[in-house]
Formats: sequence, C-alpha cells, structure tokens
Amino acid sequence: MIATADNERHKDAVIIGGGIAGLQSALDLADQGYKVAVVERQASIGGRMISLSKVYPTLDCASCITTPKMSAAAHHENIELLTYTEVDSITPGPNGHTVVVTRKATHVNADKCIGCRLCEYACDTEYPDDFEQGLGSVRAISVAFTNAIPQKAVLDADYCLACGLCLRACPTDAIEFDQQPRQETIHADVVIVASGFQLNALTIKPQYSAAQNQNVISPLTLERLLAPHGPYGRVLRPSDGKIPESIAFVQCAGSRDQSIGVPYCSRVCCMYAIKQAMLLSGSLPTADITIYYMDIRAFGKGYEQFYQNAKAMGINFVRGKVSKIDSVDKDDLLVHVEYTEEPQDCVRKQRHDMVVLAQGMIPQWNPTSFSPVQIGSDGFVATPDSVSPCTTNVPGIFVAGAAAGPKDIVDSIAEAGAAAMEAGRYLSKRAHLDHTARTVALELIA
Amino acid sequence: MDNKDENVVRDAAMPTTPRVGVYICRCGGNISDVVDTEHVAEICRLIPGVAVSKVHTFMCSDPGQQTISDDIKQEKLDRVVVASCSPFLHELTFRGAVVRSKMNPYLYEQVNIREQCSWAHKHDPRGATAKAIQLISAAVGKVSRATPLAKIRLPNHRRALVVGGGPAGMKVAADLAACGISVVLVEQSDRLGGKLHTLNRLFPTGQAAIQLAAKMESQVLADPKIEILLNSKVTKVSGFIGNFEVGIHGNFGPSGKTTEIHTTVGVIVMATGFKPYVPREGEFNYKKHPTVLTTVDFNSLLATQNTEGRTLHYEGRSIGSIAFIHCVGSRQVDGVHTPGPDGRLNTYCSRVCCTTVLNQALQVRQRFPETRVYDLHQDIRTYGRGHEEYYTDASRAGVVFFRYHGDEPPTVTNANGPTSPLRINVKDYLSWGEELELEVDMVVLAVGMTAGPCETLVDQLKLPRGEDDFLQEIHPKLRPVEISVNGVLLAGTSQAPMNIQETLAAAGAAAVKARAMFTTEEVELNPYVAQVDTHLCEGSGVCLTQCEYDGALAMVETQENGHSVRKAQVNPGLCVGCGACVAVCPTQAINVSGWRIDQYDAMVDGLVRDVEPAMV
Amino acid sequence: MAGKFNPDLHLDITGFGGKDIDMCMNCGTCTTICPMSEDSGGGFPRRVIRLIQTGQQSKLEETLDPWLCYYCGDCTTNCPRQANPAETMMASRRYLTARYDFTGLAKLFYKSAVAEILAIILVGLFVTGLFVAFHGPMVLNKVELNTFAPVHAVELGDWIMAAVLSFFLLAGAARMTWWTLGRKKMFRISPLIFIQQIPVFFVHLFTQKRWKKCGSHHSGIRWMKHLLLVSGYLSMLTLVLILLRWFQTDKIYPFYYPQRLWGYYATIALLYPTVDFMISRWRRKEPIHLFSEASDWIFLVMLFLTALTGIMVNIFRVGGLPMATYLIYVIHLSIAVPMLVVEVPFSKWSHIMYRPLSIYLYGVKQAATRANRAADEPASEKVAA
Repeated sequence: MIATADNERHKDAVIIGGGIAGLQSALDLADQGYKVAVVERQASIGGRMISLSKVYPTLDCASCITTPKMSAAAHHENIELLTYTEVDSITPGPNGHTVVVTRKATHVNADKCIGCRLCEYACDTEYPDDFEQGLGSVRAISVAFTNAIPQKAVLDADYCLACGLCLRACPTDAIEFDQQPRQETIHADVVIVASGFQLNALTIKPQYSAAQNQNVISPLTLERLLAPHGPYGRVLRPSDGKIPESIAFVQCAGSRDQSIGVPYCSRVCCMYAIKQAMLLSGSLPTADITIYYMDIRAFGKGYEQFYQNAKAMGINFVRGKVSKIDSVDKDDLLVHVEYTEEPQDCVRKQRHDMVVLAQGMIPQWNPTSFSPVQIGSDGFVATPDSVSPCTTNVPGIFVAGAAAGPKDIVDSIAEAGAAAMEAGRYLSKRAHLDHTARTVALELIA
Repeated sequence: MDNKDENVVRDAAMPTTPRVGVYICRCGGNISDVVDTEHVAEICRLIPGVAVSKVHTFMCSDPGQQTISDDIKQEKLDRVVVASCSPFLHELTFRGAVVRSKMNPYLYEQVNIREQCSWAHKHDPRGATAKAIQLISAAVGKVSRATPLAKIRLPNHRRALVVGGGPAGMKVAADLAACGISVVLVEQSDRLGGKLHTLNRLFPTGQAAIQLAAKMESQVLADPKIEILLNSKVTKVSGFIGNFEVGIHGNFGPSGKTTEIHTTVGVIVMATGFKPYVPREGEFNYKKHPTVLTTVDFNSLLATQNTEGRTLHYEGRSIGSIAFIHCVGSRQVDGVHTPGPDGRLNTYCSRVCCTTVLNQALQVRQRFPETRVYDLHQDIRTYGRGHEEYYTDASRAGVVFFRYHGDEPPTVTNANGPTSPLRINVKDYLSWGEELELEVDMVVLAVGMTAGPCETLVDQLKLPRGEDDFLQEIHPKLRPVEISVNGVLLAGTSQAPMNIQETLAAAGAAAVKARAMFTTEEVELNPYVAQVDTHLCEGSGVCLTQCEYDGALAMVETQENGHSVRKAQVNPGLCVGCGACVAVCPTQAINVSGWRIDQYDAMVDGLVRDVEPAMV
Repeated sequence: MAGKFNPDLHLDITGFGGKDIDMCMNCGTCTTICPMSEDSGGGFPRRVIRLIQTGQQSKLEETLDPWLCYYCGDCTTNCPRQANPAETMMASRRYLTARYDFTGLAKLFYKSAVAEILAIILVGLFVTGLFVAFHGPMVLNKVELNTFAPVHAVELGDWIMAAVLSFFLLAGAARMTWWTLGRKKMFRISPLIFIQQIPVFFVHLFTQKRWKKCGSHHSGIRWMKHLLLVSGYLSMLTLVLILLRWFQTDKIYPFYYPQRLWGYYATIALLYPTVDFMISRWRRKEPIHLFSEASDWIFLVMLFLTALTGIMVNIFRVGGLPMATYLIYVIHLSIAVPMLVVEVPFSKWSHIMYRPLSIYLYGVKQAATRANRAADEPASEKVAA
C-alpha cells in the first residue's frame, strides 16, 4: 500500500454533490463494492430534494424518499461523506483523478459533537435560514435541519459574535473557535459530477415586480410553506401573514424566454406547479388557484393523469404567458395576461394574493475553471457520447442528474444509476488492466 | 449489512417476558398534526410488555434511529415497534437500525399510523389517535410472540437473461458483460437493434439511428460473455431470484432448426420495448387514404427519400404540404376516442412524439423547402435538453402551428377521392378557438407508444402491469427499475415511453441493479414462507391443492419410525408466503413464518385490548 | 378557411419588412404588454401575427389593428422568442397601404427601392422640365421670383397635384373603409354614426393624441416631435395650397412679419424632427428604429431636403441672390413635388390619411356595435319573455 498522509484518501469514486442524484450514484457504486467519497458543500447531504414538501406524481413526502437514501448512504460501509466541503480542482492523471477539496471550518469538532443541539439552544444570534428560504431564522451555531445528516453542529463565523454561550453549553467541549479550513486530496479512479441545479434569480424579469413585492415568491419558498414541518406550519403569504385566497402560478418565468437568455425548457416546472396547486387546494380548500402556462409538459409516467386530476380538482389552467405583474393596494398583485384561448376580452388583469414564479433551472456549478470538464451552450455539463448519456468529455468523469440539464427526481435517479453503471464499467476495465499489468510484472520478476 | 442474520438469530435467546420499545414518529407533522403522538406514547407505556415508549419528529432520520439503538443497549430491549409511515417506505430502514444494535431484524414490527391514521382520518384527530393506539397495541402483541428469523439463502447464478435485443437490451447486456457477468440476450427478430431500425435521425444529436444500432451491435457481438439468441423467444420461465429456470425456443445454432434450450439465470431484465400505436382504420382517414401515414411510416419515407428536391415525393406524387397531427393514440379522452381492441384508452402522454414530429418537420423544411408543414398539437412538450431548440428551429423554418383541445380533435376528410388533397378541420386555440380548414397533400399521425409484447413472462412470472399497460415498477423513485417480482428488472420502454437517451439511461440503471445483485454468492430472501411442522403433518395433501405457485409445495416420502410417510415440504425459493395452505391444513401443521396463527391471535387481542377506557 | 387563404402571406409580409413572424409561438406576451391593445378590441399584435401565420389574408385586410399601433417596441423588447411583433405591425401597415392602393404602385415602391427612387427622379425631372420649358423671365438685378415662377401658375399646379393625390388617397381610404367595416356588415351601420364620428378623424389628424397612450419608450417625446413635424407639414400645406399668394411674394417683409415667422416655424418643425429621426434610425437607438426599410429612409431624406431647399429659397431671396434663388426654387419643387406625388398616395406618407381614418372607422365600429347591441337586447328580452 502507498503510505498516505492524514489529508489524503484513496477511493474508487468521488461523487461531487450529495443531492438525490449523487446519493443514488454513491449507493449504486457502493453496493457493487466500490469505495466512494461523497463531497457536499452544504452541512448536510440531501440536496434540494430534502427541502421539498411532497413530490410528484406519487405525492410521497419528499423526506420519506430522501431520508432512507441519506441514511443508507451514511451507514454504508463503502461510503464516506465529506460534508461542508468544496471542490477546488479535479486533475485527471494516468493513475486516476486527483480531487482537491477544502473542508470548510465548521468550528465544531465532528468527532466530539453528539448532535445534542445544546449549543444551538444556547446561542442567541439569529440570521435568516437558507433552508427555509429565508422565512425562518437559524442560530449562528446549529444543526442544519431536523433530519440533517450528519447531525453535527456547524458554526457560521459570519454571524457568530464569539460570545461563548455555546462553548459553555456544549457537554463534550466540541466547539473550536480557532478551527481552520483545511485542504485535502482524494485520489480516485472515477469522478461523478452530480452538482445539481439552482434557480435563476426571482428578479430576472423586472416586469414581475419580485424586488418590490414580497408576495411574488419562489417555488422553493412555497415548498417550505407547504412542508408539514415548514416555517409557519401552514401557508401564509410573506408580506403580512394573510392566508392567501387567490394564488397564481406563472410558468416559464425564467425559462423558454430569449429575452432573459434562457431559451430552454426547465422541464420540471409544469409538474411541480400542478403538484403545488394540488397541495394548496388541499390545505386551502376555498382558495382560487390559477396556473398560467404556455404548454403543459406533463410527459412522464403518470404525469398526464396527474395533470388531468388537477383539472378535475378545479385548478384553473390558463394558456398565456404573463407579461407583467404590478403591485396593487400595497400587497396584492395584478397579473397581466392574455387568455390566448378565449375569443372575447382576452387581455386581462387578474388580481392575486400571492404569485409563484416558475424560475428557470440553471447549473449550480461551473466545473470548467478547475477541471477539464466541458459544458454545453446552456451551461450544463456536456455529454458528447450518445450511447452513454452520462459520460463527459473526460474519460473517467461522469455526470448525473440536473448537472447535465434540468431534470426531475425520477429522471435524475434513473440517470444516477446509469452514471454508476458507466463508472462501474470504467472501474472494472481499469481493474482488469491493473490485473494484467500486475500479472505481466510478476511474470517479468519470475 | 455486516451482521449476518444467523449470528443474530443465535444471539437472541427467547425471553420469558419480552421488553418492547415503542417509537412513535411525528413525521414532521404529517402524523402529529392529527394524531396526538405524545398521548399515544403515554398510553402505549401501559401496554403489557412495553418497556419504552418515545416520540420523535423523524424516526427515520439518523438521530431517530440512534434513539432506537441506544435504547436497545441501555434499556435491554428485545423487541421494537415503530409507529410511523407505511412499512413499504421504511421497514428496511428500521430493520437495518435494529440489526446494527445486534438485534434480530424480524423482532421488529412497523405500524402505519400515517396512511392509516393521520391521513385517512384527517378530520377526526381523536379517532385517529385512538386507532393509532389500537394498531400499536396489536403490533406489540404480534412482535411479543415473534421468533428470530433468518433470511433464506440460496445459490445465486451469476448469469443474466436479457429479453429484447433493442437498444435497452443491448446496453444492459454490454454493461453487465463488461463487468464480467455472462448474459443471454434473447431477441425475437433476426437482428439486433429493435426499433432503432425504424428510426431515422435521432434527436437531439442528429445521429443516424442505424449508426447507433451498428455501434451497439458491434459492442455486443464482440463480447464473448454475451450469448446472443436471435429468432428466439422465452417460452418457459419459473424460479426465483438467483435461480430462474428459463426455456428459450428458437432456430439458433448452426443447424438452423428450431430447438429449445434451457438455462438457469440469476436475474431477468425485461427489455421488451414498446409497440407503436396503430391507428384504427379510418382514424384520421388512416388506411383509407394513401397519403395518411404514421410517424413510423414517415421515418422510413425520410430515410429512403435520398434525392433532395424542391418538394417531398411520395408514390410518384409531389407533396406540397404536410400536416402532422400530435397525440394519436396518446392523451386519449374518455367519450371522445374509441378504445382499442382490448377496451383500453391510452390516456397517458407518450413523451417522445412532440420532439419526433418537430425533428421530422424540420427535416422536411430543410430538405424540401417548398413542402409546407403544419403542426397540430395539444401542447408542445419539448421538455428535454436540446429539445426546445427543435421547436424554435421548426418555427424559424416556417412550420405553422395549430393547437387543438383533446376533446375536440381535428378531423381529416378526403371529400373528392384518394387522389384529391386531404381536408383538415381544426378548432384552433391559437386563433381563439376558431374553426380553420386546411388542405394538405399528406397527413402524418404522431403515433404514441403502447406497451410491448411480453405475455409469456408476464403470465408465468405474474409481473404487474400499470394502468397504462406498461410494466409497473415498485416505486418511481425508491426502486425505479425493480418490479414486484424479485430478481426481475425493467429496462427502457417496457416500463414507460422514453426516448433513446432515456432508454439508455434506464438500461444503465437496470444494469447497475443487476450487477449489485451479483455481488454476493448467495441471494437472500425474506423468511416469510410457509413452514411445515413435521410432527403435526399427516400428509393429507390438501395444502397442495390450494397452492398457486408451481413447485412451492410438494409431498415427499420420508422415513418416520421405520415407516414411509408422506409429509408436505416447502421450497422456500418459490413460496411467496400467501398463506393459502395455512387456511386449509386440517391439523394446523403449516404456518407462515413471521405471520403465525398465534401471532394473529395476539394481534386480535391487542386490537380489542382496552388500553384507554377514558378515550374511546 | 373563410375568405381568402394565402399560405404565403407570411412571406408577403416579410417582403414588406416583416421580421421573424414565424418565430411567434402565440404566448400572448406582446398583447398584454401593449398599452394600446386593451382599448383596441383586444388581441393585437398577436391577432395580426396569427392571421399572417395562418394565411388569412381577407381577415388581415379587414382589420384596423396595425393602424392602432404606434410602435413603442415594448412587445419586441419583451418577446420571449424574439419574434419582433412591432416590426410585424409596421410591415402590416406597409402591406395594407399597398393593398388599399388599387394601382399597384404602392406595392412596387415598397418592395423595390429602385422603383421608388426612379419614380421620384422621373417626377423630379418632369417638374424640372416644366420649368425649363415654361419659366417666366429671369430678372437678374433683383430677386423677382413671381416673375420667374408666377404665383398663379404655381398655385394652379399645386391644385392639380392636390386633386390627383387626393383622388388616389381617397380611393385608398374608400377601400380601407369598405374592407374594414366588413364589406357586408356596413349596411347595418346607421349613416348618423358616420357623421357623428367625423370629429374623431380631425382630432386625430391634427393631434395624434392616441399615441400618447403608447408604451414606455419615450413615447411622449416621440409624440411631441411627431406633432411638431405634423404642424410643420400642415403649415406648409396651408401656405402652399391656400395661402400661396400671400406666402410667395417678392416683397421682403420684416423678420417679425407673420408670413416669414410662419415659414420659419414650418421649416424648423420639419427640419428638427427629420434630422432627429434620421440620427435615431442611423444609430438604431430606439426599438422603433431598429429596422429601417428603404421607404423609411426615402421618406425622411425627401422631407428633409424639401425643408432644406425651401429655407434656402428664402435665404437666397432675402440675401438678394436672384439666380441662386431661381435655381434653388426649381430644385425645391423638383424634390417637393415628387416626394408628395410618390409618398402621399403610394408610400409612407399615406398614413396621414390612414391613421386618423382608422381611428374614425374604429370609432364607427364601436358605436355601431353598441347601437346594435342596444337594438338587439329588447328583442332578445321579448323572446325570453
């Protein structure tokens, strides 16, 4: 064996991103007996999916699907989770890839922390909670969220006042104010990029007044509002806490729009809007819910039925792209839209209490500056091989999930499995080569 | 799992009085918003045998599982009940948790107080709470009488049967073979490639389909680990994961004669593909007018029409205009569309047709600039990466789009005989619902995908089909390529409509699961199978008459006190634990492990136990 | 399809300067972003685009929509597919101008800049020829314009030209009226409504006040510049048609005399906007000036040159340069006359008639619809009873 320093690891595979795609790839590879490291920039694995309420088309609660996979990954003997860690570079070489990562300072000794949260309860510095889309607040030292993995506290130095309350509360003396970020190196034969997506800015179309009116919200915010363990425990609109009586979904608010430079379809928005509309009509049975769309793209297995069910439930579907949203009476919203299918008075200004903008999906991560991985014109990782849809331009580097273009959970999971298969093939080919090389070497010695 | 069940079985001595830990999950509010979980926990402490009763926001989370582990050690628990969601979701999770604490996983019981209490009785919190208590009480009764069980271990044949030689089948075969697993690839036609041969230019790469077919075929042919059987069909299949006995019928081999071979495989991959929808005669004038084609026909027309011209030509005629009609055989509406011969309406979306049409329309406009193209759709579903570009490019190329509603499909008539142009009437919702009339020389029907043929396997393995007739996976996210029959996997369009890239991804996902199944020398099966108490069995054979699973039960001659007696014997690989035999045994000699009659009695006792008189 | 169906209509409109008509996916953004659309019966510009896409030529001819658009360009800026609705509306106006004109000259001029320029040159040469052949004596010791070109003769020419132009323009206006009021439906409109609405025509002819409702791109300023131009143009028209005897004098009045002040005003009112518009078109700084057809340039250049040569006549006259005055006078008319002859009935300038007429007709339509609805209601009530 090669002697390794403390900050070096040897793995078969490194997965970049601990979201649903990354976890699925990790589990599939680990089940085949490969040693895997999952690098996640957040304090917990689970990615976008863990923050969702329920997921289409089965309406399972998202946690119920994600937590078992998170838990399985955390307990798998072949998987090591590196959370709160950023990737600095990926360098391919003749003996596999060298992945340099930075373990960000959590200021908490992970070995000592038992996740009791006493530090969090003691801390009296709060800041808006990203996980709750800024609706709730979080302490300067906290465990990421209820079902986070790992259950380890992270201290955010940007907000910490170093008052020492947590220090006194911690029963295991785990808090280390002077902890420094440290760089580590992972050597691995394959890398799977599962870095996922982000949404483009809510304000990308100034016509939609998101900067002026708090009730123009992101779908991810609505997910938190709908989640049973969300910030308010029910759906209230952000500006004044009113129970919204009329909610609009504005589709293609950040995609299929050349005027904002996102010409492609974000693929998931139609279905999650329908899902959210259904959940809303469950929690607010008297509310008026309208979805303004251009084309309803309910293409997957069971999706069309889901759409038809929503129509039967009384959700209004209006074909027309919203051109403008104005504030009216301070908090309400006026949606300008052409009812393109109706013959008379088709230009309308509809009043709503809350508007959800279907923001476009854009890549979370641009690997080009610190790795040889190439991206397509849409910014997502390019997949040049048509037979193996998960391969990138670099042998041994694969891609899964929304890192290779907008994708829903079902398709991300399928693709994550495929990426694991491609990686597995690559690994077994290398193992075979290694074996041959070793045999040749032994023969030479003999 | 690093703990072998056997060890755990040996370690778990049957206690005289069980110590049951009851754990109630709030499911982040999913349960606790309706069921008073704290109250349930309090009451459950009163149930005989319960040593610990606790509530947690997410039992399935790491800290939740840790609580169980800690209690097993500290409170010396020997039975665990978790009241949370459906066991379908988390039984395996919690079994894993108890195994990590060196407890036998079958001394764990899950109660579903979410689907069955909080969700079902949303508006009756008191009732839901009472019901939760009753269900937990029953489970405590059952688990108290549970005995440690071990998974059934059977040999695992490191060989896979891939049914279907299309792109999905070839991809699975190539993937598995590359990992050293031998594969039998069965294809009913005389060549590999499947539907790739009916396609032309693939979207979004623009690659020629036959080129892809050839590339994949050469990969498969080059691998000695893959045995390819063309012109053949699976005629017989039986067995279970790791041990499927398969009979394949076909004229392979050098003699060219029809023969049948038998082989044993560990895994069966269903890459049986789809059938394109065939319009009824007269549907949009199909088969009544020579220039009403399907997208499948049109693909071959585009492929064969090599001469570039001002207009497309078909059967000697210049085609000045083409109308594509979307959703033919997809998104059908009850009362508007005529059901197929099987009485089925295809209400689902076939996913690929929109981009297929735009791909074809664009090719027409690019290659035959004087052939006009009209596109009649419901929604344009160019969802995938690079697909929207087809829509944009088709627009730019002058394709004119019309939007109809599913319950008002366009009509195609040919008033003046087969040589006259076709007339299309459409209520166009891009023109405010106005009735428009088009005259065109050709109509191309964008036919959807319907479930592919795989009757033998479906019947013999009892594979479930979904509402849409496609093979039904267990769960689209948790177990997307697995079907309820263990050891059978789904690859590609046997499961649902997919385009070629999605098919290949799905095939990869199936391959990775198949490969994972081969990582162990043995397969592990649930121990919930029938078990015969040989002391009680009198060899009546009644059980055999009720058993529906070939080979699961047999009467065998054994020697008992020097006499030859007939006793029932269970083949645990084939028994599904349905319990039909249990019900008919005159001597109660047969029982299903983990679901014994005395456990049922205990459950009933638990259900009627008056745990909280004040409440009900 | 009802009426005339023309599958190549989108190509026709492209020939008139339409851009990316095929790119429209009918999402409705343009229609809702348009500040005019709601008050104009709803649905434009998409209605126009859709009629073009589906080749419904008759319906396009029957619509007033293109004339109700003032090209703020908001639709084009907001279009998610860069389908350029505003330019489609512009092209539709050109197309309709050509359709209203029964001679076919408008179509020729719009589609061929060469033809338009040739026509202008021909008419210009004709005017020059007239002067060469029939000019009066050239007094060279002082400026005597009325001797060189007697005012009554010029006035006669003016009136003949005005009559010819009016004939073509009115013919176009008649076709527009006939088509847009629905060919058959017209007879259901009471003549009283036609009379009642007449003030609308003149209000909009003189003020273009509808424009002020138009979108965000400096429409107010554009409207004022345009109003300045119109006032200059109408001033000139008044001065040369009605007041020519008062305007074209050899006596040089003091600077503050109304004759000179009015003339200067008209010159500035023509020169400033034309120069400004030319710069804007050159720099493409506003959405409306992103695309310029030859006809747009010819219109601006000719108008500019007319005003420029006009003021030069005055400068030379006041400066006491007889030969230069006569020469520039001939040049002035050789530019002004062809501009009027070609542009007013057959090209861009025809909008002086079609714009106010369309608003008038729209008003008539609205009033008639109201009247018919009022007439129908009691009837239906009776049936119901």
